[in-house]
Amino acid sequence: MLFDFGLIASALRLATPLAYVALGALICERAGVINVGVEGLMLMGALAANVVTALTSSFVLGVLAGILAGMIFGLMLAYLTVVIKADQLVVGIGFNIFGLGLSSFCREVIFGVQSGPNASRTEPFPVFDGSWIGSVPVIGPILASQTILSLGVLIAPLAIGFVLWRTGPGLAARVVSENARMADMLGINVTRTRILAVIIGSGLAGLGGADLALAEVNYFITNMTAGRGYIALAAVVLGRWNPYATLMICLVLGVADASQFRFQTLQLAVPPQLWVSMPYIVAFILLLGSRGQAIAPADDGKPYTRN
Amino acid sequence: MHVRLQDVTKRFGGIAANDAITVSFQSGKIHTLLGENGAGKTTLVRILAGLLNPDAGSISIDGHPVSIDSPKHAIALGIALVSQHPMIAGHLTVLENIIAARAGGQRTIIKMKALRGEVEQIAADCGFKLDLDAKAQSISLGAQKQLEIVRTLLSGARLIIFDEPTDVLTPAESDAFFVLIRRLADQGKAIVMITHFLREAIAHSQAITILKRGRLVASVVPAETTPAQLAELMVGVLPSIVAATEETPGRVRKTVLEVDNVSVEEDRRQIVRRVSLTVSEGEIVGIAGVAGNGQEDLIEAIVGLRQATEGRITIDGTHVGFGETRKLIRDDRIGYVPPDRHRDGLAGVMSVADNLSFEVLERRGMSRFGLRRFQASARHASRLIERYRIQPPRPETAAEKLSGGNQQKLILARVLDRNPRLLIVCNPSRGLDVGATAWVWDSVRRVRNENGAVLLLSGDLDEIRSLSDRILVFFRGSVSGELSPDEASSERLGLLMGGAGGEHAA
Amino acid sequence: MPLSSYFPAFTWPAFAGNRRVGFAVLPLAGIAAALATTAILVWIAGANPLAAASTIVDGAFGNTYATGVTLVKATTLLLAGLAVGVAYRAGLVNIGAEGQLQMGAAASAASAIYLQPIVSGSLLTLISLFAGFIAGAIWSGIAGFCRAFFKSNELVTTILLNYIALAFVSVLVSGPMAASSATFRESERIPASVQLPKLIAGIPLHAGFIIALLSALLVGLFFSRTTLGFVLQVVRFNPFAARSQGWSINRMIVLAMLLAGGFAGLAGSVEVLGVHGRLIDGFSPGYGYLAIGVSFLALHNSIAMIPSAVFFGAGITGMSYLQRSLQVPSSTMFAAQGVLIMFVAAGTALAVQRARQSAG
Repeated sequence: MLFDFGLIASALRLATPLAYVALGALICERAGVINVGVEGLMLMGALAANVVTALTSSFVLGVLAGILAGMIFGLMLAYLTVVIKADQLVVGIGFNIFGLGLSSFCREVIFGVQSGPNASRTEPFPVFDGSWIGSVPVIGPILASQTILSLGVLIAPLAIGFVLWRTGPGLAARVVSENARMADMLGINVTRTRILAVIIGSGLAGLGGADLALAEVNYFITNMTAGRGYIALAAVVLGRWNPYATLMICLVLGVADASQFRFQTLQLAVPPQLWVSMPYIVAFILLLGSRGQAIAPADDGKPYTRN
Repeated sequence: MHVRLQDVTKRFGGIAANDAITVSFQSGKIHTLLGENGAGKTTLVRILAGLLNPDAGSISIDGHPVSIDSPKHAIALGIALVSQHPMIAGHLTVLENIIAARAGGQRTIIKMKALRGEVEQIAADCGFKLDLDAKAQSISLGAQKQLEIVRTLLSGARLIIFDEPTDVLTPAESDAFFVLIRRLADQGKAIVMITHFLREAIAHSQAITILKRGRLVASVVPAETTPAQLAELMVGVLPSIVAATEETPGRVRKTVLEVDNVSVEEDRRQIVRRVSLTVSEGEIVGIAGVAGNGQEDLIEAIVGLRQATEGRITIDGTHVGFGETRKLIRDDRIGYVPPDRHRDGLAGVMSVADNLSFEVLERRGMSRFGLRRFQASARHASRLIERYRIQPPRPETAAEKLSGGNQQKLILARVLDRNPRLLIVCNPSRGLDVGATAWVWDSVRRVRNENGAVLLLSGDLDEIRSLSDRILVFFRGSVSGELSPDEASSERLGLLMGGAGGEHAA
Repeated sequence: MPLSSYFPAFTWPAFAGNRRVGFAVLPLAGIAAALATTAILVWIAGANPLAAASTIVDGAFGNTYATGVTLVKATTLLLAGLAVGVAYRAGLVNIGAEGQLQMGAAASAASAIYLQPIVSGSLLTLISLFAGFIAGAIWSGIAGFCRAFFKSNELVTTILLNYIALAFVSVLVSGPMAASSATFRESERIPASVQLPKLIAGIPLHAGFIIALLSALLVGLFFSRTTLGFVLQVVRFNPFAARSQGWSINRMIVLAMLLAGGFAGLAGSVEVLGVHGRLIDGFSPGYGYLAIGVSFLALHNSIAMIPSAVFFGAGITGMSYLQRSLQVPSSTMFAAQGVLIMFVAAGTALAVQRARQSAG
């Protein structure tokens, strides 16, 4: 059986980290900052969550540590891109390499240079008790036995959408991403808006990392994000900077991810590594279809100087 | 409200953009700031709007000294600036653009219904019909200006500054605009208007202040002045401009450019609709029109940068195809000065010599076997710098360090030096002072007098009238009328640019 | 597209001597920051930074053999660095050198192994190098083509292509190209006569080093001397100006990516033909990512990339020696490199702002 609700359920599980990171990147871009550094933020979030949970056996503390790690490094990225106005792409690439190195370094210092995944293994992440919902058709089998984080990611776009479209700070952020000069002239603090957005978005990227290390698997290994941060950036473009659409794109990629395990069990005469690359191929093909970027916020990625 | 600027001075790199300027603006009055480009008008209002901090001088409001250190502070004081180009967030709705003035600073849920009502009220008071739920980028330039006015009123502005307000408006829209600001002034607002249209200043304001090279040269009462007097105050004595026409009657002139029923589409929308025109040897054909009516797109089709969806373009009888721009430049069939020189004309960080070599890069002298010959390129640059008096005369200077006038000289030198058969020149004097304008006009006329064909596109009607032998007016992608320079009164041009047919005006 | 439309590129005009002074400080500041990061991490890992410094230098240049290994790493890094730099100088961000290098290595190994019945010796070496170049070029050319005609951002596509290429090579060496007797995932051995000759007996330095130096020189000449290189730079500094001159930006993007990827492919080739003698799964310790640092440290100047590549090559050999002798993780190097890139980016922004301010 290639398709059933179990596939959707595992797609949701696999898409959760990606979706958090994509929504984080979306928040940054909705204030006009392209946060290429989400890959590195995700790695740091994953490391922090794994280490704290391994030391304290507390998932709450682990998840909070992941968010906090994202926010702290997000502050650094905000300083470089918003205050110093360094090239956002270059800073992001640099940070990703930095995050790759630092997270790997920390793992090796804490768990030993030659240690495998087992050294950092934590307990399985508790699953939300969904027995009462399990009998509901369609959504029952999908939502039962998900983690609270996977359920949270379904609600996150609602919250983000509400803030962006219904509140003052959300409107301010969108104005900043569309026309920073206009925002400035209307008395909106461009720098503060962007810094806040980057910190919040980076916190979400850290949360995505935490979910990856605590719930999707339960250990930390070097470069375990494997390009998910960059795929998240693509998901924002494909989702046309809309939180709901971005989540849907992440779920589609989650299906691609989940189905690779199905295909592997089919024992076709195809090497398993080919299935591993499937999410990347799917993301690539989706990107080709996106074409127009005319709907991108007009001042997305552009540093603002008053004069 | 009484806003007074006392001895306000602002310097940029040693040059005073505003030199000890003292002026005051009052409720109930429309006050015009008049001056050439670079006279310091915009600097002055940017200081008022909190975008620039003055180096010296003071500002007081109703007798209380204030220091306006940010736009936020300016808004709190009731000062709002409506810039020359629409200041909008294109993907946001009109309503969102307006309420951003208030809700953007709040940390709460937006009270959408109440705000909407308030905005609708203000718009109705002004007599505007704005579609509040349309995307701001999809409405007309005139409507975008209305959006901005509603926004300043919503933010509670008492001193409203308009920077070149009528530049993007049709004549009818301009008239409505002046009626509106008169009413706002009567309601107790202080209005400041920056313009270079002398007649507008005289007709619609109660005070005129003239700036020249950063200094306040005169304050006059509109009723007691004439356009000629204002012009002289603005620019000083005009340099004599080289003879306008050297007519050689009875000559047979060959047609150089022939545009036959050409259409251009963008996003499946026709932006140029079956346009036909010709340009012959020894004539300058001017194209007038409000920006965005398809004239620039037609130009791009002529130079091969845009695909025409139908019709035929020929230069000297040879068909011009899409993507052949480089070939046309190499064969000296066209010389092209693009509309926006800051964007399209130069690679700013590259040297003057490199920028001067764009057109002739593949010439035999300049390159061999795909390798550049730097000595030849340097000689070429030095010759052009000398001949066209580009300052500073150093080929190695980065092009972005040149003044606006010298950048324009660079682009024109690059093009004119090849003696192109057809010169297509867009907004040649935009942003230039009087001296540089005279030089540019002179160069364009010289091409015509030497039997070249010139197609001139300009948003400046004075330029169109002074240079052209024939004037075509564009409206919504078609030619709405053709005039001779003698027939081309501002009124007639204005009507044609606004889509009202020439026959009504005649 | 926000990701790609805006590149505040480095100002490195042909003549702008006055600015160069400011920019020359950048690489030094970057190196200082990278070294400081390394020192801090070494200290955290429980080693003495000074002792570590001498260990690193010892590991990288302690004897002729170590120096040879350093230069071998520098060879691959220089070629891969050119892939980043060539793209960047045309206004494109290529972080896909890793994948292009993998594809180059695969094509190089496949041609060297399967064409043996037809050609042999140094002719086959040349063919194999050529195949590597072409494969790398095609792999990045895909990203260039998608950027030009589908407006897909190359930052994302090149990284996706990295993972696809890694999987592809892994598939090759565990199936179609797997050596019959192998315990690891690797291909058959390429005969010694087809491998790149060693330059000095007893030292691993191979002829690829010369190829890399020549490539850097050629790229330098390409940008400074040729008409095409000039046009590419106009495209980078002002695509609108290039367009209004009738130069096809799309064509230039594809061309720049093809050329860039070719050098990364060549980097894969010299790894196969000069170092391993076969295609091995996971042969690259991230050369393609280190190459980003190589290029940025040199401010994308291909000649300056030579010392830059040696610096990073010394980093690899020195850090792996440090890991073996003092148990300091060699991943320190990636952290330091990241700091270096961020420093160069920040410094560039500050220098540009200062130049703007002084211009008024």
